[in-house]
Amino acid sequence: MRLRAKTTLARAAGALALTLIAVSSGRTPALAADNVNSVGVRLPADAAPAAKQVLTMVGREGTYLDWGKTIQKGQWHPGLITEALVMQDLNSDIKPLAAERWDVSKDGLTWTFHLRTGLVWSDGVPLTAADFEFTIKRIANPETGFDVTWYFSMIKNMKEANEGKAKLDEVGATAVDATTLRLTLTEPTPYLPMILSDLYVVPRHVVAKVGDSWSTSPETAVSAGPFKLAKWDRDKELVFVANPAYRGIRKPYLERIVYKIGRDETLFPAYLAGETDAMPWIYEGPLSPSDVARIESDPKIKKESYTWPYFQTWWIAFGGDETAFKDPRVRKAFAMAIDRDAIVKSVWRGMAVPAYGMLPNGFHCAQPARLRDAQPFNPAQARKLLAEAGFPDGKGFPKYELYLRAASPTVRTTGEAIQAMLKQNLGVELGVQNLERKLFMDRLNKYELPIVLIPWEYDYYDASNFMNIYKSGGRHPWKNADYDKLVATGNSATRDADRCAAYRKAEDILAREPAAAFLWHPTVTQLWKPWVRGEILKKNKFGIVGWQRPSKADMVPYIYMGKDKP
Amino acid sequence: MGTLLVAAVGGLAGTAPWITPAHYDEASFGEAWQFPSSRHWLGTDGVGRDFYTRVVYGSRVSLTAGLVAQAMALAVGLPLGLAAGVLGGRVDFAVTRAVDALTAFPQLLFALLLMVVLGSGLSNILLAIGLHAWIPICRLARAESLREREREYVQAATAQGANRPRIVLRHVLPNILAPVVVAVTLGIPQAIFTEAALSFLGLGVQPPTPSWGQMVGEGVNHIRFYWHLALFPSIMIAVTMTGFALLGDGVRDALDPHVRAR
Repeated sequence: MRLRAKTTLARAAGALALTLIAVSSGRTPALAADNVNSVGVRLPADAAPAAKQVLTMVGREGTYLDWGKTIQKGQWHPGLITEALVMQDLNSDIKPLAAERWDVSKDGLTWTFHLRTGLVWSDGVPLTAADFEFTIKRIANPETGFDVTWYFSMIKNMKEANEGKAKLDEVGATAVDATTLRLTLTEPTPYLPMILSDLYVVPRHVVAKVGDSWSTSPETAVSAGPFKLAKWDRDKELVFVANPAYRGIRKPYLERIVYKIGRDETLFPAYLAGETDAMPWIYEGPLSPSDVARIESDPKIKKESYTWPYFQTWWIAFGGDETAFKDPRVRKAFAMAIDRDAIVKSVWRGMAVPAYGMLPNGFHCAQPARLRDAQPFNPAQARKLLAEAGFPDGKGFPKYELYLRAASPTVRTTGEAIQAMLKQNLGVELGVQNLERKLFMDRLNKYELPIVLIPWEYDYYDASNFMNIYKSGGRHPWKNADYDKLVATGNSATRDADRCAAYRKAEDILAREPAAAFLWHPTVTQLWKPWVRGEILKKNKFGIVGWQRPSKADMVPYIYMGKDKP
Repeated sequence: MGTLLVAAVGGLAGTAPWITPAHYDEASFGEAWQFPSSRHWLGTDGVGRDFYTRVVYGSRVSLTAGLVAQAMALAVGLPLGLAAGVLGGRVDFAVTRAVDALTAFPQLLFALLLMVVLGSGLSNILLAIGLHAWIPICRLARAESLREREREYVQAATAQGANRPRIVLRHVLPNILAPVVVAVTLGIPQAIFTEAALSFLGLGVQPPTPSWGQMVGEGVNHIRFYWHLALFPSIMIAVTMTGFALLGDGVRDALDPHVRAR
């Protein structure tokens, strides 16, 4: 009798433990020998067996998996083998991830993040607040060579340390204890969690031993995320498998993710040939108008396509004081000599909408219609402005190259269209040069490129994500004290209406002075086979069925393969 | 046949401004991505440029690459080969080592490396091709002049007191010219192909200047639907290379006494 009671108690405790695991992982636990994968997640009723839970895609080749070393030379999907403090869900809302909660001081300058207990790296070493502190200071360290330190510049002394004006110890990140991380900011930043959703922790103990190459081989690439690196055959294949040591809330359905390494141009042919399950990439627009025409003409493929206007803006950014673009009349002349409607209609065949400002339609604080008159297509007025700036009919204007970043075929064609428009409408001769991504970004960050065609894709649903790009000391050399003040107001105000009012005034300066020539917002088309299921099939709060933030892997743990997978 | 094909392509290049409806960089955005029609015989590209016009103008780049690069090869390779063959000794040693060293690089790889260093542009392409194309000319000129210098008529001229420049220019050079001309002619399609390959890879001629290689490079990205963008420049590359190859064969047949004897 006593034995039976003990057994019952043990079973109850076991059930409770399983329930707790289920609650913490966000998945239903395996209670019976049903369709369960190797990390103990029970698969949905319409899922293929665990052995078939393999997602194959084409990925680009990068030097590292570690985005804390470089983004531009990093592999996509950094979130597979690492954990951020917070995450974005399907609706771009912030959810706790490694941090289960956080507090903000009254002045908004001190943020304290409380980590979940029990988090571990795949080698069994605990994941602690010290790893996050190390990660932030490593990004600030100029020796790391991180591409976008300015993105985290609200953290105290981040920028200064990166410029060698402060010590790394003075950066505002402190591990108070194993599960408490304190961040000190230079200004109140209500959207800080959104920024931190792209701060990918690195293993301090491994980096100290192996150095920056830690993420390049399965032996040293320890994981804090739902997957771990199984194989990296350079220029051929990258394979991740579910991480059995993962203790976070993103336990995956998938057993394996395979990336066949290839250029953007190979994405669509590989999908058509049935070599991949999905084609989520959208950053540089891998689909050309001919690809879209092909999709439109094939009902089967059309059924597998998902299209929506993307939160991305393309524009021409100008060089600084050492170039002819220091004169705002020249910048405005360029902006008014480019027929964005023609680019959208002719080159992009409707796969985009014209951009009148920085914020894409439907995005936080966006009100693009009010900026329609800021940079109207008006060749006569553009020619007049250029003449006033000292270059009548383009005479005497320096021959610059329009630089493109690892451009897709359609972006290259757009570069040629801009080249033709500037010649026809201003008499300005411009070359077009396509540069490798990292080289382009290094030169851009040093303000070495006189004129570039460049995009920005949203990282999080907040206007600060776009507006901070043009702050003084940001990605481009343009400076405007009024703009800086307005963006600072937008960044730190607490009422959304106040924030949007400030951002809109700042955007007016960007478009009307102008700082840049805004051109188009793309419409994205993704493709995935009918057996690819999960959250990507759910409509989000923006009314979109699609793979959100496809370069960041937020949605990957929530994807599974249906029974119809061949 | 080769002469006919080369003459046809040369005719296109020479008369391009008169036989095309527009300038090659004239864009008509409302007419982008059009298939071949009576208005645009070969269709239009993504910027609305008449593709027939661009294909015709593209012949200029290809012919320039082929002819100028081979002229450079002749200008460098022939004197060096002659000097090495006739003078021998240290000159021969230096030229032979240079030729051996450069032969280690395949022509396309050599051109690629040079273009990365020099940057894109037609003049750099000509340099990149020409700096490698002289090697076979030089090797051939050296071998032929080595053979010729031992001939009786050269020894007779030496015995009669002819100086070295006179021997080289009046006796050796005319007798090695035939095989060299054949080699130069046969090198033209190779140079055209190298230019096309460099432009295909984005390292060659830069837009808006039309080059067949660059057009094929862009066109393959759209081949699943806008097939005309890769097809027509590909045909032109094939026709031109075939033309020069046949012409080279013809020149060899005409100049080679062994073939003539048969």
